[in-house]
Amino acid sequence: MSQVLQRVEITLRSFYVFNSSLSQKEGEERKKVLYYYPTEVVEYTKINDVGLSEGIIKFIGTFTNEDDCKALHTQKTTQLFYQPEPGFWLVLVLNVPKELKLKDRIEVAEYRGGEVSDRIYRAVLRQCYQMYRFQHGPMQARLTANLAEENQQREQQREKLSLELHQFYDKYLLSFRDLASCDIMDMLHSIQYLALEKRIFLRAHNFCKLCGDTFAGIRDCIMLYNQEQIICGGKLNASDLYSLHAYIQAVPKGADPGEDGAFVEKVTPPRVFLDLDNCIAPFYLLIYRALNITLCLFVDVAPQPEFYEELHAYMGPQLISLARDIADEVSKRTAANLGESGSNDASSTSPKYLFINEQSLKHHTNIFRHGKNNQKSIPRNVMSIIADLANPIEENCTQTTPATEELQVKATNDFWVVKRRCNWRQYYVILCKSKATLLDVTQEAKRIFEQELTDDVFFDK
Amino acid sequence: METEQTPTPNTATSDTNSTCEYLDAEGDSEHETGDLYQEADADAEQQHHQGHNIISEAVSGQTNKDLTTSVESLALSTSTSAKTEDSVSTNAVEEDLDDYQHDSVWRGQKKHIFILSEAGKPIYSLHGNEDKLAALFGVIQVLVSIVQRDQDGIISIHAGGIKFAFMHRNSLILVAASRTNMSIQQLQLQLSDVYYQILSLLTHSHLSKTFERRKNFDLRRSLAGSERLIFNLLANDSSNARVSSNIFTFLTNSIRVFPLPTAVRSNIISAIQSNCSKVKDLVFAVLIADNKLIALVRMKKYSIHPSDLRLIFNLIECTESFKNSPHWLPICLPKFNMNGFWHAHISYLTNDCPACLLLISVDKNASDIMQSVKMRITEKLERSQCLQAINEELQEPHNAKLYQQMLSMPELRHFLYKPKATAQLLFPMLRHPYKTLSEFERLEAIYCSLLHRIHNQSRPLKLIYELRDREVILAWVTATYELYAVFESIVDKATVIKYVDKLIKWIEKEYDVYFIRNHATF
Amino acid sequence: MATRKKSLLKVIILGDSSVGKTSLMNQYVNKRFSNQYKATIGADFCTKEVVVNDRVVTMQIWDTAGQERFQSLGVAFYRGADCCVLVYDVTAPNSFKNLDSWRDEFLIQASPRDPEHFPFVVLGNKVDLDNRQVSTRRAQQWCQSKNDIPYYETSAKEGINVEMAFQTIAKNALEQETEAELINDFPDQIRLNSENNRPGNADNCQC
Repeated sequence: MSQVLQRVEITLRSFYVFNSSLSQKEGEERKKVLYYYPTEVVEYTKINDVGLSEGIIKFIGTFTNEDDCKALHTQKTTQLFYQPEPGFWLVLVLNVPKELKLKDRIEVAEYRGGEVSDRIYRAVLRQCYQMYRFQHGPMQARLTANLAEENQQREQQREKLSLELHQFYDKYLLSFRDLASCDIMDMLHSIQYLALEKRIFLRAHNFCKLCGDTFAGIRDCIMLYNQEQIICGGKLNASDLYSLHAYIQAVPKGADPGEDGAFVEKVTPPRVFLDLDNCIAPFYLLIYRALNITLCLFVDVAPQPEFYEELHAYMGPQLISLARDIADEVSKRTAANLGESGSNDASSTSPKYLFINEQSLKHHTNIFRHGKNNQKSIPRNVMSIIADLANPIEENCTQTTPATEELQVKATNDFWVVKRRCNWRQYYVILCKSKATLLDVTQEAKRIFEQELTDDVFFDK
Repeated sequence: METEQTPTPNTATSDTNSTCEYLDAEGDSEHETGDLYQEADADAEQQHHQGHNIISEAVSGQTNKDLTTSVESLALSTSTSAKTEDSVSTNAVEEDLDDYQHDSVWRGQKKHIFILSEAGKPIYSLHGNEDKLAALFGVIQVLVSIVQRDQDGIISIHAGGIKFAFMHRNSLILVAASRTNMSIQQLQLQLSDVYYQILSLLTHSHLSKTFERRKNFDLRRSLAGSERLIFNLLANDSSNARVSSNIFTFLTNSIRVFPLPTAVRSNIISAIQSNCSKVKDLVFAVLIADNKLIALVRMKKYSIHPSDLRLIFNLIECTESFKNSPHWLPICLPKFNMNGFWHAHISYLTNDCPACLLLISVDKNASDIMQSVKMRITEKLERSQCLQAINEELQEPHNAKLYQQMLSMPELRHFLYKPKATAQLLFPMLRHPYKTLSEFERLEAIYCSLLHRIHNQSRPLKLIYELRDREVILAWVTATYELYAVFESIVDKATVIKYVDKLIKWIEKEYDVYFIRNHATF
Repeated sequence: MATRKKSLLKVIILGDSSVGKTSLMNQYVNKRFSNQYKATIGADFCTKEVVVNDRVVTMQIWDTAGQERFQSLGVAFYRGADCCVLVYDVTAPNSFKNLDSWRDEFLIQASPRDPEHFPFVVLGNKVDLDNRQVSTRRAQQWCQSKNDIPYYETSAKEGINVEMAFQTIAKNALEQETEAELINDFPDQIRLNSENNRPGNADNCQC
């Protein structure tokens, strides 16, 4: 019998960005490699890795459109391909989980590529790009020099782009969350919205709207609670909202704004790129905090000091009052929830649910992913099963799948997953019951659907 | 609701009981291949009369010039005919050898299978002349070699709408490309089948030695005349534009059992047992009819692996010439022992009874002995009226009892039932709506999806119940069996559960008619 | 009329990067060669049919890149090659000098059964240019010293010698083939003993 000596989880092997059109002549292959992690690797390995990717893409082109190349699986790796802009490819190479086993007294390595969910990590890869674009704008925009024009200009632009990619990705990749624990949430790029009672919800919305109406320079206004949950998503599309959310997590909190509310980082507000009105353009991001509320304002032009003062004077008091009321509302709700369901959240065998609105990408769930002990309440195989079942959210979703689905599966460890999908909403209920029958499970799921997901709370969109 | 309906005789193309549709259907351009394989077998039969056998000739490498030439022309006729686009581009000239890239028919095929040597030399392509695809084979070899250089191996490539499975075994590289719903694991099973088929013809050791000595060896020479065997294994799904139930046994790595009353099967088994037990070196006796197993009788302590048995079924299914006269040929059963040959006496019982008997021995000189064993078995079966019973069952378009059972559960459209303890499968005839090609494709996709998810190595499932647009589908694994079933979409859960219950009970009651619990020994 | 007995030869094209291998191949194979894979995976491929002794032979031509970063793939590229075309540029003496190492490297990595008689052919390219530096005689001498390698001169403009070169090498490669015996050993018969018996199979699957 074989005994597992050691298990190594998914790790990042490499990540690179390339564009084949950047190396026209033999001997200039290194030019097509715009970014490669880890940087210490010998240059010709980088070129060879990119070469293999290009070879795979070309090979695919024999049978279908090259642009459709998605993944390469080897015994030891999973490589995901993404072409966000014509000609620019991003490749994420993961080392699959590996188990060292003792078989007949010999150490044998077993590679478990089947455990890696492509969908999840493709979404991680997409986000790698989205975050870059959020902060630096599209890559193509950097390479404006015509091929026909002077080579030197193009070369300079290429180097500059490469440098920018280094500045961004060297840091971004370090902050990669533990890859092994990526799950369906990472795949869906959905964000939790804060559930609010109608009046407060409308107040918050009106506040945001008024900011935009009153101050000409403000293009959009987003409000978050505790930097985690969205209160108002503004006009941002789901993808930009997700990037903004991730970006905000990384911004240092700064000094406690105290009772008054304050701007974070007035001197040099960061520039970000948003896809508003079908056009990707840069905006300055102003972050304002009041108690538990974070406000993100997007302005066209770099603001003068007077602008900040005006805004602060206008927003401060209103926002503080709103923030207090929201905080009250939230604590009331939390108490009510705890009261109702008792030890609901702690136990891993109590029912869990997940609700996703495919259009707005908002989600609502009682599955804790980033708990204090980083304990997942649901076993890994079940989370993976949900990822398998989920309808991936791709941009330009052409509908070939029917609008309504219902599905129940039982895993080998007695977990049941019930899924319903209709009207661009996906609902999942996860139950752990060893003796349940199909009908039992159907009933229980129905009860939870009705209880949790038809609240009279309001969600944005 | 017991309406007695006499089943209307089905035309050949879609009835699940007739798996050799491609051999039956004539005059249809899609079935060209079938006609030409018929021809090929007629030649094979001729060769046999001369005391040679195509397969053993190819294997033993004896150079008989005349035979070689005719073997080669055989190979030519079979291989060019299998390529669907030859009929399209008859103007294909030496100039446009790499034109497959611009041949939209070739490019758009639902499934491709490529086999090449480690040197990158083409051996086989399901569609297209493998010579003309030589450049593509070169690319594949290099991609595989690059990954190997890093002590790794390519498993699969995924692109929108198409996936590729790779396999590298013993000097051969095999690639499957598929636009169907088959998973990578299922495609690898297909490649594995083909690989084992090749081993069955050559043995593992012969294959290794050949390439060890001559890396540039053109394996097509050794496989000449056997393409139909490979083709039949690969043509088991709808990507080949035919409705064939071989896909079900393939997906579950099982075989079907010929339904017979217990008493009849008992008699058959004892007829075989009594005539085989004292025969030295005779290890297995296999009796097959209509692509189903009537009986497998074996020497104690020896058994046949399901994959090997499927290869035997494949051989029988593809070789019409066995019907005309007995054959004696070498066969390797790779899962049993991949380096050695058995010898099999293969013949049909009588002119009236199309049941095929294989007597498998380790003694290559035992042909005459096997012939007399066969005669004695046949005699006994005739006397005990077993042949008659077999013929009676064969005359029914589908098994009557099973058919009745299905009628009593009208919303149950189709199912696959496989006991855990055996590699045998039971399924009913294909009914409306699954008789047209496009609907059959859908059914196939459903089973591929269910089987893949149930047997997923990292996260297997015990039960799947899914309400889809056009049907309700169920997959259920218990300690004793696996059941996959498809119902009309309007059916409710309670009915599904009721039907499943009823079906399982019925199967358990009729178990020995449709399954063989333990293979008898002698 | 040629009979259609199948034969396929793996042909490797070797030489320094600037000698014009690609344009030679382009011209010979007579199609738009898009240089698809050379820069990425180290070789480009094309097929060409020729008729040799009444036999149609398909040539699977491997036009290798030769850059150092692909050196470790040599074994894979050259494995099972039936013949090899060495190309140099008559105006570039280094490319001629390198023929030796190309040939040696090839023989080491390919390790053919009979290295002495392995079919090579040498092509001296760019003879249409003015600044020729390697004389025909010198090239011929080298070729003779290496077991009489056939030598041809050509330029990208006219392809006639290229055709002849490939014709020759195909013929020589086929000769190697017919001289070798087909593998003649008949595989083992099964022996019934306890080794062959595998009751405890992983699948534990009886049929």
